[in-house]
Amino acid sequence: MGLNSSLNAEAFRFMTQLGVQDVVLNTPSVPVKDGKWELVDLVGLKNRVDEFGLKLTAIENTQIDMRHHMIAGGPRFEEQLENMLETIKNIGNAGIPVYTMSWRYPRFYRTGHVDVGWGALGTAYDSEIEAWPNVIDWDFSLDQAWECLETWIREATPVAEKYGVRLGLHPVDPPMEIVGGVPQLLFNFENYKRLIDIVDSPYNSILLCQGSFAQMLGADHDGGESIYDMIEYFVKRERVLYVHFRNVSGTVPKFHETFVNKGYVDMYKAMRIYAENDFDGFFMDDHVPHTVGDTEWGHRAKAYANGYIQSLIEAVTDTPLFDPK
Amino acid sequence: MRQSWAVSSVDDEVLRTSAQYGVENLIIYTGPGTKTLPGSKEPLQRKKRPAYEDYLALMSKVKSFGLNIEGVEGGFSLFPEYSDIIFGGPRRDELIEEMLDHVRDMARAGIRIWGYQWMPVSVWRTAPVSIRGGAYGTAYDHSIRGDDPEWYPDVPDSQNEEAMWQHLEYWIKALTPLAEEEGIRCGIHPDDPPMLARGKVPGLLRSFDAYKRLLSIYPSDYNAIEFCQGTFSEMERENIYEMVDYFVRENKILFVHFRNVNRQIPTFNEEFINTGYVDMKRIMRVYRDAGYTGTFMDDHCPMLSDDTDFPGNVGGYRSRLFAQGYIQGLIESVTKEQEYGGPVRMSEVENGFVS
Repeated sequence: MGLNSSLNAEAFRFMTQLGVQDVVLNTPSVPVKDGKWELVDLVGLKNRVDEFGLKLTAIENTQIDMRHHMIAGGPRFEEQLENMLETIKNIGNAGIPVYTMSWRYPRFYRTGHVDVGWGALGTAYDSEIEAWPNVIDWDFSLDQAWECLETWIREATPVAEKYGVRLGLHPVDPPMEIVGGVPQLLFNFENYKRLIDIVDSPYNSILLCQGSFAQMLGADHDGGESIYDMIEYFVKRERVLYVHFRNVSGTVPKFHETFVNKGYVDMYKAMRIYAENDFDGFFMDDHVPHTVGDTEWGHRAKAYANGYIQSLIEAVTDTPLFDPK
Repeated sequence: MRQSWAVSSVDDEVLRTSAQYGVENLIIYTGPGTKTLPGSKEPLQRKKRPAYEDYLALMSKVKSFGLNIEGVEGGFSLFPEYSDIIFGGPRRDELIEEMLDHVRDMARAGIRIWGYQWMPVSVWRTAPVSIRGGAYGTAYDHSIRGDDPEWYPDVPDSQNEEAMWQHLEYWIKALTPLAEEEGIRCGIHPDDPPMLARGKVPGLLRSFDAYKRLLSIYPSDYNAIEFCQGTFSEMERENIYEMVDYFVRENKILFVHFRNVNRQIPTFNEEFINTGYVDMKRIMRVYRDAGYTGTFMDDHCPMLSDDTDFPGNVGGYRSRLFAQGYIQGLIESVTKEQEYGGPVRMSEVENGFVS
């Protein structure tokens, strides 16, 4: 189960009680010192999670202003690259085995919410009403975008191997070619294939946000580039670190998020593909609809999604997740 | 196979939650003998019992949220004023007539299932125990409660097991023809915990054989079982998979309480739905293969820290939605896996068998 930046005892207790074993911290509030995260702060973070008997399996994202020039070719590219490599060393030395990052600038973007039934709200995107302002004031071409990404992968992968941190990149969400005036790369199958070929290593991997992949143009059609084809391709090559197991109504240019078992993706069929290809990572709920009486964080909706995920894993593998009492 | 859950009052929050999360079928805790209006906490006021119109109002409120009332659960047996039915006392016929009138009203309002108990001492538990992460599950330890005179109800000495079977037979023979005529299927929940006796009261419905005897009193689809899988799995030395298979094939299961326990009597505790001794995916396949078409409901769920109250049995909203997500995922999985010829891998270990 994933957790946003705030670490609190109540959330950890909730996860433990529901049988969650792996914790992903998204953009934890680690202080940024001279543009990087320091070892001492990361060890402290890991200890906090350990104290609750859980495992800090991954950190998902650093603060966006630590890396936006690196992703979008800004004037501080070199400086941010060096700092990020240093941060990866520190993550590895702190004993945190996975660092994932959304390779996109600007950040996650939606145009509103949709009623997905009886007042439950899912986030929605419609390219026709997109109004994201330009976020960069420098020139940035598609070729330059690839150059930034390739430089990052070539520089970071050996460091990651040396310090034992598997790296994985999350797609741009929404998976559009241009967002906020910035040319994007990780919006389709083809570019993801190119990404993992830049350096052929398990340390150059993917955070398979199944929601974002399912939103990619064509993911809802048969013909070799469906969501199921993409899952199979990357799991087979052992390049999937973990999965955001959520569902959507359709693909770009217009879609909304919905309950894990209500979107267009057949989650049972997807789960079989992971199992058939011996996937050994974990599944987490990601965004969940906001439902009546629930907290802002979505305790109820998260409990439901986790119950659903646990039953699918047990059913396709025919193996209990927990030792019978 | 479908999902459900059970609620005692149909407030807007629980109805909207049901609709949002796809809990399309509701079971309402009410029925003959209860002293509130069906689906609410409102007292009956001057009425002696809820009537046809009250059930009709309940049906229409639930339908307005796009939901179905699968059935009603609960009833008279735990209220001392109806003990003459259970113990064959002097007011038995008069009380049975009142119950049957009530059942008729429910049926005419469109209720198609009534699950009830034959437990004058109700459900027994000792102190809850801490399970995973400090969540609590209800528990029973017969060495604590079974011998405590404080828990002995006021029962006539003449009530041995065989005498009580005679009273149960009398009731089943009175109820079933009416149920057939009115089209409402009735079924009894097992004794929970399924002990030989609790206090001075013999436990009748505590084994596979006892249920076979119950069903043979009046062979009919309308004399059936409220199948609390949790309680059946508490029964001593019984094989839960075998019982499910048998009763589904006999078309006797009206609905299922899909919950789990760590072991059988005399000492057990309730667990999370997938941490008990029963292998839930395996048993769901048994229901499927035997042709079950009814619903699965969560029944009791562990008590989580910081949970919010749910208008039903043990367990708050979060705990219940976890179980609901699990149930929905399992129904989907065991249904869809047939197209693929089974799961991706078949486990070689037969989980959950207790000999």
